Amino acid sequence: MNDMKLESLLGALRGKVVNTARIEHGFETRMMATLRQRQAQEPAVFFMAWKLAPMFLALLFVMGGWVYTVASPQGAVHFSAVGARHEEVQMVRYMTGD
Amino acid sequence: MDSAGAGIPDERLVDQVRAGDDAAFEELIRRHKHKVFGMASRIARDPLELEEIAQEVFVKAYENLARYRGDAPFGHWLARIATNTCHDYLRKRKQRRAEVSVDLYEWTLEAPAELHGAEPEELAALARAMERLRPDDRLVLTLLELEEKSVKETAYIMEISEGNVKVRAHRARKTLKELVEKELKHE
Repeated sequence: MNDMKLESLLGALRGKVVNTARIEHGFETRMMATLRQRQAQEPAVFFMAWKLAPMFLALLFVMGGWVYTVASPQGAVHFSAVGARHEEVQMVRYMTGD
Repeated sequence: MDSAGAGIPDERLVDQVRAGDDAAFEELIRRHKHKVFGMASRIARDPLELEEIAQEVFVKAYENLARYRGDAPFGHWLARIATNTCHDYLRKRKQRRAEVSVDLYEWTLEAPAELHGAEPEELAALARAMERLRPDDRLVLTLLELEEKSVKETAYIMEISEGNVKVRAHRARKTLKELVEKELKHE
């Protein structure tokens, strides 16, 4: 296919404009209704988020506590070792699996 | 604001919307809906999707009106939103790997037009080939070839340089040619 042929095909497709008059009819009214509906919903979403905030905060505290106490005792040992300047000993133990 | 807003420039209507006058936005929709529908109809597969795209364009415009700085006409800014929205639709469609629908061709052929010497099956092949293009390539060709935008306008709408528009258009035409040839062989 040469460039001329493609140009003529594109020209033909360009001319094929869909008649959108029927769909456009009353579109602004539908659109404004959609916008009003969205505006009415938004505060409800924010209100729910605000109401749920303490629950998320509590969950965050519980997960934080769990991470520092239960989930990584090994990590706690290493941190205390670093604090006590025994990091090399701890590192060797960790690497050799002792 | 039915006929009262008719003579007011777009930029002033935008200011009124920002000040809380929703009727001014209704007037902006009335003024620009035809262009938005025109662009979206190049991408949409059916009237429902067309309405969906157009609604999304105006919702985005309304919600981002504070970002409109007035450095370009409102219509150009809206065309940019319309193009981005169409791009999102095309990308989602690619992700779903949807089958190319023959309905697309039937729907775009609702209005009879001059065939420019092209056979109907060639046009169907072109419509299918357009569907198979990458979203970026399809949009650059839609804007330049179908919507007859200038390179400068296309660059503004697609938020790329004019040089980049030319490069993309060249690449897209090449790919389109190959795809049309393949489509015609399959028939």
